[in-house]
Amino acid sequence: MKILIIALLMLASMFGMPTAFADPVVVIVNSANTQNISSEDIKNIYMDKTITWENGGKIAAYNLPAEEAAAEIFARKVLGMSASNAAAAESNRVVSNVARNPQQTKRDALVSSIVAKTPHAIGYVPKARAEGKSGIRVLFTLE
Amino acid sequence: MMMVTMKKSIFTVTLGCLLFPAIGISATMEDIDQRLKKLESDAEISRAETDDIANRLKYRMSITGYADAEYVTTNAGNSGFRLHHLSMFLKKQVTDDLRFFSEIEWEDGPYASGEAGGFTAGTIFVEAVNFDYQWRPDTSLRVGRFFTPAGIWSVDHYPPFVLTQERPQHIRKIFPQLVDGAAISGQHAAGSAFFSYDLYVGNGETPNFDGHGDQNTTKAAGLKVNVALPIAQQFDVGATIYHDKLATSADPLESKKDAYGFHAKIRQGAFGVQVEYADGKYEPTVTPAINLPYHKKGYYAQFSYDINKWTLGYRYDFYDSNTTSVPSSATKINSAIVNYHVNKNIVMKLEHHLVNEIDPAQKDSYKNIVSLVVNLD
Repeated sequence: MKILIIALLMLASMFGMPTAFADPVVVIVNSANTQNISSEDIKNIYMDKTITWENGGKIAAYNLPAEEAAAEIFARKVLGMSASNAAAAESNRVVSNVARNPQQTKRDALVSSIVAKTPHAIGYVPKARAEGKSGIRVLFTLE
Repeated sequence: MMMVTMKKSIFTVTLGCLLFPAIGISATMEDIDQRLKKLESDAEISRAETDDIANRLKYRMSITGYADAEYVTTNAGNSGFRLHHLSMFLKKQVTDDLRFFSEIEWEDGPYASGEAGGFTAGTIFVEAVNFDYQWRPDTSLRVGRFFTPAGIWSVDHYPPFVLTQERPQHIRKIFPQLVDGAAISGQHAAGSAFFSYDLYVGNGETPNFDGHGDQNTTKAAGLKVNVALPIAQQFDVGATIYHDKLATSADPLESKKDAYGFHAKIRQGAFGVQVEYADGKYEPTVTPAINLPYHKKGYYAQFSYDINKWTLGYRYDFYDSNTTSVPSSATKINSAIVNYHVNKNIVMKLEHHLVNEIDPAQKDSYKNIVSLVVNLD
């Protein structure tokens, strides 16, 4: 049985199914941020169209590495493209010198901690990373 | 004997613990307290050092770039390998509001030798040197050399992020490649749409991108506007206008140049469309006129579809360098494109371009390019 499960898992990984068994992803902001934020707002932030919060604070947007399942879920559900394409679009903005508010890429453990400490930050992490974490507010859960 | 001594010791220690427990606990608590204070102090130092490193990295000059290698087959010349681009970006966030950007490009593997006294084919080119000042969150000022804000491909042209190594024909031929000057750029929300603009003034076109002053007294000026509508995942439409009086060395006819163009970029799911149109009118400014006014006109429509790491594309491309020319100087190119994205920094491309001359006296041709492009980020 174990061999069968391992074989199935290996088969799944070979066919590139990063989201099939992935944890839900939550979009988080600092708990001091009380602004109403829609999924369209989040898209505009990560597409570099909106760079400040309503209170004037400059948004600090955090990404996960494109290879992570959570990044794929976020990119597909919010941005409507693959995580690789989203990362390439951000790189293109930076390389072309038109990025108004360049994003940062960090590991999920760091993203939740940074968002908890930084009033103007926004990020997304696997749900487990946000559970019980103080200093953050969950905006959306992406399954 | 030894057994007896050991038993006595154990008895003494046990008795001590029973009779004086507070001393033992107090010592332990004190020890834990000291250790906690030391840990807190270490954590504080670590955090300060991390912040310091992050701060230094933020304001440090960064070097990135891209490179590509191609194999080209064509019936219009020799087939062979091409060391197309090696580009280096030097960037620095000077202050929170001021950033520096530059790009130096080596194209076609140039060779220069002092002893030989020669410079082989190829180009070493300072393509960009500029400073951006973020005046307000929605407005920035730029001064220096920068890519002409015109349409889409003029700015979004870097090989790791475009479908083909060959650019559409009219790009850089109607709107110039670069501006040496100053620009003001902004982006504003209008309901759920976004309006952006780039207004710029510069020296105008010169044949060798001379960065040393202006070659005539007329400044070039242009404006690009773009509206991003919340219709699809991406729906950008916009227009560009440009005016210049060309320097004598750029055009012996001292032409006055007025150009305009439209662009659109749409993406929904895996499907993408990119369209650009440009028209440049050239009028003689000398009297009596030694040449009639003429137009340069070009447009393309490019379609793409993503399948996992693959992107399939097709482009129709038209360009006429002189619309009054008889026989026609127009060329159209049909291109079939396949990209494989190894990851966000590496892409392999296969492109086939079928070049069709409108003038029947001209011979049609084809070009195939296989390339490896790496973003050196």
